[in-house]
Amino acid sequence: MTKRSIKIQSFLKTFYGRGFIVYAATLVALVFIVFAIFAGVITPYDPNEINLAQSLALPDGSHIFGCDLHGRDVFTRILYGARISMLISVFSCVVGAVIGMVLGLIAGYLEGPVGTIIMRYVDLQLAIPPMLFTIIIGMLAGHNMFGLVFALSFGMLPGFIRLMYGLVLSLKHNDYIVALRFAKIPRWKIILKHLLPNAFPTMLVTFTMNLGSTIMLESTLSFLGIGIQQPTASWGSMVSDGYSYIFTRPFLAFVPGICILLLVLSFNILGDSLRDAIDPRLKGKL
Amino acid sequence: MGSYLKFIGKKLLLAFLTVFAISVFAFLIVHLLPGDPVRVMLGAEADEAAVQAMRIQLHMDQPLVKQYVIWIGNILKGDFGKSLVLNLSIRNLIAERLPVTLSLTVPAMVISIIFGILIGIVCATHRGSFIDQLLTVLMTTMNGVPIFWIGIMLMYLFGVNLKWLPLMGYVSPKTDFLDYVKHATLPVFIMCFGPMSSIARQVRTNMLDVINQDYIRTATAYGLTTSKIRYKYALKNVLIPVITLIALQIRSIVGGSLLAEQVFSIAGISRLITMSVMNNDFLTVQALVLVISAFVVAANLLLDIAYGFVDPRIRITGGK
Repeated sequence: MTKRSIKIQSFLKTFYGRGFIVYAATLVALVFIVFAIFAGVITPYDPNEINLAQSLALPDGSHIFGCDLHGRDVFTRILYGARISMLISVFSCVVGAVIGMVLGLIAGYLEGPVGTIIMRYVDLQLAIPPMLFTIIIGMLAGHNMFGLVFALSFGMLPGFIRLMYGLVLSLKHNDYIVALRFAKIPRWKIILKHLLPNAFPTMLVTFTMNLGSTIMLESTLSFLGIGIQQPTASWGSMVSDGYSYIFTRPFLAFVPGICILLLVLSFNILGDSLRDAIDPRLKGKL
Repeated sequence: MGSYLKFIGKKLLLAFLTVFAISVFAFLIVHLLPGDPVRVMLGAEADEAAVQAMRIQLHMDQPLVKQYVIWIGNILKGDFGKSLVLNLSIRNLIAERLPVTLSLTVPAMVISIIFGILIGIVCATHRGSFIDQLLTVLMTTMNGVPIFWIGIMLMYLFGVNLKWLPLMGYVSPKTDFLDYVKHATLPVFIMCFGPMSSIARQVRTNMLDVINQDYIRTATAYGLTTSKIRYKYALKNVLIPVITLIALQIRSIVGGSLLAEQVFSIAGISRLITMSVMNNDFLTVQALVLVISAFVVAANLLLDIAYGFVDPRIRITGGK
């Protein structure tokens, strides 16, 4: 066996160390990813096409979760909703993580006035309740998909900045970094070749953990009517639509909520397992 | 004592600066909007004269700094302006709705703290047992549940099916306390989800950490009873870091109340925000961002002061 395959094996062993629950989370996440990618193949219906003849149709063979007020197949909208949720979540997390890492790196490596300004800004943003902040930014950026991604990634910046800042501060006083500085290695080389690779595992764990909470936040905003706008299918707005028919069609609100729960939980569990597998010392810190 | 007073003074100054910075942010909301805010507020069909009149009425013809001074001056005098959508004084709106929101968020916070700490202690002291696993799974699940959805489902179960609780709405505890409890049960319950599970997990981790420390081992070797060690010596050090977490949870319960008030149609301040954001009622949004954030900053300030009181080390390091 090569060294690499032993490494992978021990990684998987810790990753799935908590047993059944991690396998279940992997399965759920995979199912939803397949849903999101192959939505168009899995279902013959259009998620937004209005068909009033099927309005509030009960579940049957052709519509397993029934239809909503506009006669749109609920299962189809769940599939397309999975696509929207994951796209927005991944996209926002990538934007938030990259900008947050860069700012945290600058603040931590340079310190001085620039660092102080960045970190004071972080404190200020954190003083405003996070959901309120995200809603306000969403309002300023406009009620559309771009505005939503902007607001979500803006909202998660402080977390990434603080984390990266802390990592860089603790790494840069290590002997080997100090030695590199004395050896007159250019700053960008130290950052790219030595600081970033060391910070990467922690950032990867945080990124995964953020995916779940961002899906939650997106559906929350869509539920409040501030996120994804009609007719685009989003799980949050589907719950809100179904809420109007709670007396006669409770499953309209039930089904999309269960999807949010399952997806968020599985991402959270996978995030925890990834943390344990990559660096057990992070337990209780992240 | 001198160091403690200095610590309080520092924290007060910081809180003041934070509120000032937030007020600038709140003030700028109107100016950061794409397009002309007055036009958005009045609607596209408003004629030029009306837009001009409104602009002068809101002092938007003045330079930015002067506008801020006028705005913050009015707020300090207690004049928040008028909601353009509801056509009511924002000050009256806040005075009417803030008690509603507080009467739900404060009990939610208190319940979360008490039960979060209890659950955390039970889990840590019964580590690995069935009860620990059950509660841990429960706390993980609570953290992943969309609370607006669980609110609707519980309303369906207890309101529509079992008819044990009213469907929605709000009754002030001053009018009828029992009715208030009935109406508040579900909203308060769902608001507890996030804070309670976070506090429980933190207490569990801290407690396990502390139990393994030398001074606890010494106490055990000394022959003290387990309960005395746990509750007299360990708990103090377990709970101190939890104060920081509670400060964080105060911020996040604002999000919980946004959802609870929306789901249960409660006319509190959080519902007012959602409505104002949807209706482009910027003046109300501005005022509410400032008021709510100031409330949260004040609550955090009190916690910081309490923190410095119970843990003198904090007075020197500033909690870092």
